[in-house]
Amino acid sequence: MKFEPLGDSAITVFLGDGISRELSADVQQLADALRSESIAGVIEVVPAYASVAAYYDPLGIGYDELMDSVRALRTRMSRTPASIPSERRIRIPVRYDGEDLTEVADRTGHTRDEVIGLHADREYHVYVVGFVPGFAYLGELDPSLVLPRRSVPRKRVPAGAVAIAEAQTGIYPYSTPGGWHLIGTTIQKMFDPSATEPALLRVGDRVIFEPVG
Amino acid sequence: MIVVERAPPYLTVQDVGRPGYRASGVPHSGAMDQWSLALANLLVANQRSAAALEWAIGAGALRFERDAVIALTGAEVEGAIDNAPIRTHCAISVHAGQVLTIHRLVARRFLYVGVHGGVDCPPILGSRSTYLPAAFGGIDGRRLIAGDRLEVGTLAGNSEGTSETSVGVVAPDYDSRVVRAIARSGGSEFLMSFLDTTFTVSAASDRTGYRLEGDHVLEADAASITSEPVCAGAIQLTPSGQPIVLMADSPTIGGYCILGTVITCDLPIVAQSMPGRKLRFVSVAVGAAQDELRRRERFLSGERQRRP
Repeated sequence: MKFEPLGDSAITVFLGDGISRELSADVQQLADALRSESIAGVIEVVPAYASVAAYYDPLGIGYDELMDSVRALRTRMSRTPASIPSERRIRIPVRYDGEDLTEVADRTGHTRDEVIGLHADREYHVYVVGFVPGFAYLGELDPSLVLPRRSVPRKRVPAGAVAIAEAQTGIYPYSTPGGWHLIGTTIQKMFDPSATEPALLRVGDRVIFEPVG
Repeated sequence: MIVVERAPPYLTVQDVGRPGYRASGVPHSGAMDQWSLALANLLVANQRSAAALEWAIGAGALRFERDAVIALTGAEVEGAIDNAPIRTHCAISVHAGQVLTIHRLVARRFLYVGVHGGVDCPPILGSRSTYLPAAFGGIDGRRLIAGDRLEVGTLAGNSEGTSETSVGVVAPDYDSRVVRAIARSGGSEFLMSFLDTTFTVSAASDRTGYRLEGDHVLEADAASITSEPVCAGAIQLTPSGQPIVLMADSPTIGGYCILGTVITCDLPIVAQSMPGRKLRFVSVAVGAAQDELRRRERFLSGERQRRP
């Protein structure tokens, strides 16, 4: 475990490096524990692939004090059996009509139907929510579908676009610039600013794509 | 009610921001220059959380349909209320029917128009801040246009203004070319070279981030990393070797190497820097940055309590 200040009002706790399910589960457990601990001064907790950030008010707690609290929490966590992080299963209907579907099929040596089959026949794990509100980074993609990002990002990707890049897949919650390959669209609303929890997906969720006609 | 008679190219509703939803990918957002927002609210006897107008780039005019007490902070401007020249950084009484015209922004980037009672619009996720990329907050999540009508909140009590002279001790030094940042521990050579570089604020700068152009290009071998949480002020090194300072609408996570993070007290200096301005970074300890932030916050809450 390594600590780094993220400015004067946040601390990042690194639990490892790279991307793996084990690390992601570890990150999620620490994030959950930090949230339920309700440390005075801590405003919010954000899990990423290998790290967790706690954003805090320096009028309520100092950097060293918070670091000590996280250390103590981690020690207590190691003494008690790890709780299984909550796993919600969320199904997302997809019409596989993306602009890049044919190109993806060509470049990966598959037919369009094979790409659809490989993308849909899998349970994905939510590693991170970010980039833009409600955007979830899902992994891992079937290795035969792995492609680098598009060399020239699109200025506008339509809302609901289901896309892939490298070993990940995701859904654009609303129209933004984007560099991933578009393979489909969903009518599922991914982000609702009027909801208490505005993003449909949270870190640790399981996601299954269901092809619709 | 405030009516936008002529909209400047950029005019939005902003407040202290939208904490608490980063895990859903929602940026903190809020005013680019939080000090000037806080000062505007202080001058018109508002709560810290009141929303104000953030104004940039060009000329425009607002008509006040009711008597109001307003304060202009941040950018230096040339403007008038009807035909009388205006002063910034003090409370101004405006009468029903009068028009505030801003002819031009003379120095700095963002002007804040605070109004006693605050600009009222439905809070989204606990904030009135406008987040343009996802089009929520403020008025329909967009820049204000001519004809927009803004509600003003009602507050019981005194709206008497205060003078700016007393804030000098804790105000950011907007003329400073030196910005303090808390450095990351890794990559000391990187960091030395970063701290040795004078940067120019690029025209490619917006509420999400300010691009900086260095007088020499930094080694960017390790520029891409496993994405980690970021915040406003974080200085990311892009693969081009040029850094970006993330600003108010910063994404919640980023995949570029973080060199350090501008301290909260100095972020307004960066925010108010026009393209072409030269900036240099110096390293400061977390404790020192937090001490200064505490001083500033205690000053603001002390001033508020002193008022009737």
